[in-house]
Amino acid sequence: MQLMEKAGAPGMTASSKFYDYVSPGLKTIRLGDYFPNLIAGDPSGCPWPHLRRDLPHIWYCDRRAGGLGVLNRDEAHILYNTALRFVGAEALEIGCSMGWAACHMAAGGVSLDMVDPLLGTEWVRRSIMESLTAAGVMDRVRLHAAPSPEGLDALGSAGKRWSLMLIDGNHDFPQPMRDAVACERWAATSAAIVLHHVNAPTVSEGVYFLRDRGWKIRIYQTAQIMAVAWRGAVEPIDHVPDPAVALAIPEHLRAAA
Amino acid sequence: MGHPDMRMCCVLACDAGFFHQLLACIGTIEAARPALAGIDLDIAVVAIDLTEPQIATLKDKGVIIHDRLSEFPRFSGAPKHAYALTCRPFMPEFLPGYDGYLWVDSDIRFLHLDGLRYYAEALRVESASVILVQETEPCYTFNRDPKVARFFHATLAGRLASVYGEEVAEYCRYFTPFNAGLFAARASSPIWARYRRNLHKALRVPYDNMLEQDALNVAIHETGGHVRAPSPLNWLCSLAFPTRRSDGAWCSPENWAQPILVAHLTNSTSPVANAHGKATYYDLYRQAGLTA
Repeated sequence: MQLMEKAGAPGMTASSKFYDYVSPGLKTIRLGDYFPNLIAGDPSGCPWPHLRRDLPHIWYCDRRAGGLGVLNRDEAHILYNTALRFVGAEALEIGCSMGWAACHMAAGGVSLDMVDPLLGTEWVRRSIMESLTAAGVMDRVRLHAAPSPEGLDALGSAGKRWSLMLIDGNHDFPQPMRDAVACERWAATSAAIVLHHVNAPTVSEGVYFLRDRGWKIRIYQTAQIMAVAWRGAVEPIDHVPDPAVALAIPEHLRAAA
Repeated sequence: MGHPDMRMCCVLACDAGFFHQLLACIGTIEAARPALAGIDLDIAVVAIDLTEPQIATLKDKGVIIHDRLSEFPRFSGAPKHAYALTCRPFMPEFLPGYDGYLWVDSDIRFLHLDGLRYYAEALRVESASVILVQETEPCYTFNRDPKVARFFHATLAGRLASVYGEEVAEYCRYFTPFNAGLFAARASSPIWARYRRNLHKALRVPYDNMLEQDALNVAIHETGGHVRAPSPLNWLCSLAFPTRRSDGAWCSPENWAQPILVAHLTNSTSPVANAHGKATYYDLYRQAGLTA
């Protein structure tokens, strides 16, 4: 059943034409209280050319960096429910998004490495740690102030292998592809790689790369489109797109959908 | 010598008209083979309408023949010899079972044992996605002549935009490409998947003999992990004609201390004017002694 709710954190505002959607069948969680700077943003103000703006789903961003969009509620729940299938496993997040995605992954029970050069910025690091601490998951998260894929390679070379990974870092060519290559390099035998912003052609190439390397693929029709690639003993979650919205598959994703 | 610990395949291609170059190239590979310690080396040829006697000659040399050209994509309107371009990303598929592959254009000549040994040993580096030479040698025409450089990079950016879009074209606009005429890659390298996908993208635009090299170059940007070999390991002879030292070694025309280990006899069929009247680059290469 479609879940309609107002944005769930202090400071969040949204006009009546926008709403939150979460796919039926997913276990829900509300972490917005731990992110006081998360607001319902105006996507028309985001300069990124690949952002899907004409959707009624609330577009969330950090009030201190208006152009920095994060997962919406539906997308955060895809990540949270996926993490629930990896309880106790090692997980990785590329791109810190002010800790919003990390909080959902850690709340799902994984042990998480976050890799992002922004984590070297004091106020960003402090804000993320405060949010994760308030949510009670900080003890399961390690922050690495490093770019990808170099940060992954350093950890992987030291023996780290991840079962669940999120690619949501730099979306400019060729970075998403390099992240996908690095994730595959250090993936556990059974693993899932989740990609956000697959509506961007540069990100979708990471999906095609993993498919061409033998991973199974599923596309999630969310606002900015997500994808999961998996191999081995992994069963990805199911997702029902918002039936009230006509979500077309972009041309560049047709071969993967 | 101990048991081989790596299986490597040198892969070439040619049509009947280029067969003399193929044999000369294979001859230099065979001459360098003793330098490969612990490596089991096979030579394979993608045969593009070779004659029966030509096939027999190769079989006598123990060369593996692959002539199922329909397995490879084809550019619309391309000459048949363009299969020598489109077969490259598929080496691990049509020649399975090797640890690594070395693509060798038939106009390549290994002038020194270390030329072949370099690529073979580099294949042992697990993190290397591909090993090849960037065309950055200062004395090459498109590096030393601003007008040629402008044309070269503008043409490259135009091709990239037509296949991969403006973002990729802008990213690569001022970057000197890698030469796809000689490269090595491990069978497990991620480069193959991207090379194939990019080649398929390129098939949608009118044929140009540089589209395949572009596909490899974009794949290199995408996967990273490449090993950049120095220019003497794939010297583009039509861009800077090598000079021979008194000790017999070939070297850069601008640096006698820089021996050339691998000569790439590029543009062999192109006409060039010399003191004896019209000739081809290949005539010059032969006269100079760069090839048999």
